[in-house]
Amino acid sequence: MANAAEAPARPAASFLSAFNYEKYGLLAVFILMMLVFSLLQLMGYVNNFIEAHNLTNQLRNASLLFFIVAGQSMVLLVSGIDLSQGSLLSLSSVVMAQGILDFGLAVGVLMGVGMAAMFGFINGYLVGRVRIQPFIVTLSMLFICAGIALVFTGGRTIHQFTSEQKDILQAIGLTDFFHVPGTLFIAVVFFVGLHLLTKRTALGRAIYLTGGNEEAARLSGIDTGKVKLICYLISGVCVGITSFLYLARLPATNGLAGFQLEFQSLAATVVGGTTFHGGEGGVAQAAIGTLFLTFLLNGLILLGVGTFAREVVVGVLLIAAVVLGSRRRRE
Amino acid sequence: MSAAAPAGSEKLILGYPAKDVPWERVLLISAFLVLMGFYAFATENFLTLENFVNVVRRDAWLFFLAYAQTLVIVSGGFDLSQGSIMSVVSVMAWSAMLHFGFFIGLIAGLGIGLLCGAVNGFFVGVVRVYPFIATLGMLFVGSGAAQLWTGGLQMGGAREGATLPKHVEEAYVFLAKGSLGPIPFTFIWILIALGAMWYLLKYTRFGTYVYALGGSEQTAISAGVSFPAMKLAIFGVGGLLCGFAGLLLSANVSAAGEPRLGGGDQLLQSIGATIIGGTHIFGGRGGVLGTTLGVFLIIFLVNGLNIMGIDTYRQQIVVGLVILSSIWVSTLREQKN
Repeated sequence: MANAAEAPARPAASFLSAFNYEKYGLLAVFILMMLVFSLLQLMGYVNNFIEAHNLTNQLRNASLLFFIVAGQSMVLLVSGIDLSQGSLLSLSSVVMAQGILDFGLAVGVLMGVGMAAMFGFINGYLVGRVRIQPFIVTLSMLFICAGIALVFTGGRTIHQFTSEQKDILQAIGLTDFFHVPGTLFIAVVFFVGLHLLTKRTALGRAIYLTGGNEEAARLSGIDTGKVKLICYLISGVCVGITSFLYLARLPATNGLAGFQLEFQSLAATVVGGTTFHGGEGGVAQAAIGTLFLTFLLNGLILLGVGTFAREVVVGVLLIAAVVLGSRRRRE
Repeated sequence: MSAAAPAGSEKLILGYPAKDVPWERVLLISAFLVLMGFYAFATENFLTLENFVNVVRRDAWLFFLAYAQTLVIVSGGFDLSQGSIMSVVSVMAWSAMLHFGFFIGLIAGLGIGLLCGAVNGFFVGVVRVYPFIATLGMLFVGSGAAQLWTGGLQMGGAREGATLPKHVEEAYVFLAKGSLGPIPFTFIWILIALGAMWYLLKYTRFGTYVYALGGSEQTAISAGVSFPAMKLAIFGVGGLLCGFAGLLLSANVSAAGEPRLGGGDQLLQSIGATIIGGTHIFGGRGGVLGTTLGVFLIIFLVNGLNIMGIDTYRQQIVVGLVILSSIWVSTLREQKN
């Protein structure tokens, strides 16, 4: 073997070198972070971090965020990006709310999710079929959707649901089972479904291949445009589901409901380990990235770190995650 | 090759051989003329010299932002952090002006723009992070830092608290609103920036390297272009221009330090103007002359909508659609070739 000469250069497989950083690195950091915050709580710097009410709330936030992070991951897997998620969430949620007011619960929800799916399809069509740069498509769509949402509501908050509708919505959005939020179950089911789709089906393989090497994928007979279209469609549907869960939690929404949420979803996706190359990362990384970002932000808030400083932290974290990731790959 | 073709068989259209007519540029200019014509009929005060001067003066910042974006995109990069750099420059320059006077403040503002750009360049060129991620990080850090600096409040201007000394404030406003005889200062600034950028890109080795990097990074690097140094320089110059844009806009708005100055649709507009102007999104092709046309199209599109009484939300939709359809056209054309 040509590698035989190299073998002695490697130290005997200690625990540290056997550890798979790619796979479990962030999980380890996440556990460490939770320990640090718990320690800070014991020392009295942080209040109410490890506490049933807080953990339940954060898990609820995380399960809502997870859907758009998963959608973003699907798009990043085919070397795309979706910057329109936040404003599409605003649009979908206001259409949903107005639909519920005018046509009843079921029709309204379908209208909202359908609206999100439609814009996901348009994004996907422009990227996959017309082959415009994803960044430009979704950045323009960010402003188009935000504009439509704001024109549609005229700055109002929509909340005038009947008490019956409110009860049903909050039953879905706010019910806990022994401190475990109900939305977490929905997110877990979705996670399993999407994980199986990406790891066990022909479509999943096509997605990874398209992102990893588009030319090779095309030559092996994969319709890469269609694969991309499907990924953007999934992202749109994910946004639709999130907007429903947001609406269900509050029973109220306005044209700015999802303002700049795309940045949070990007940060969680990238920190989780899905890269901009495409073809690396996936749904599991999305889940761990979501948990990490949610609890980090929560811990910082409880530590008394202000909004603006948290923004700086997210920026530094984003670059750090990518730098560490690329360093690892080069080795 | 036109030389190989039999002489006389080539039809010239607009002075170009039929194959090489820059249809995009023709389309852009005719779109601009149609737009001007439409507004001239639809509104009363659009086609006046006063309106023209006012619009170019008020939106002068977009020229600098778009030139910066053009430089970065031509070299095969992206700058998402432009708005945040404007915000940081706005608050820091104001603070420097408060304590050390106008010129130190001006230099501090430009210096901070340069510094932010250089940090972008460092991460892109030396650490080799994707420009997208590096500048996204700077977007967060910059906007967070600007708001931390002021506690989220506007500094000076209409708010209570410290205000700039009268002569400093006048000098600051003069920078953006003053004029040399009948010619507003901003026109001169724009012309200087346009001339400098055009010369830099067309006639210097730096410019050649910029196009080479955007055309094929690997080829350029193996031909001896220093990737880290070039990226530092490119993003640095970009940051400097963003800094000046930040100074102009804050001077124009209120001569105050405004931590959310660049938080709006500045990024979409600067990228939109660049792309509409014919700069290729993957780099290697384009330039500041086209971008200037793109900026004109966008600022007068918005100005006309304003005069017609169309609100900002609807303007957002229109601008988004225009940018999307313009790049759609150029993409379709590219695939045809």
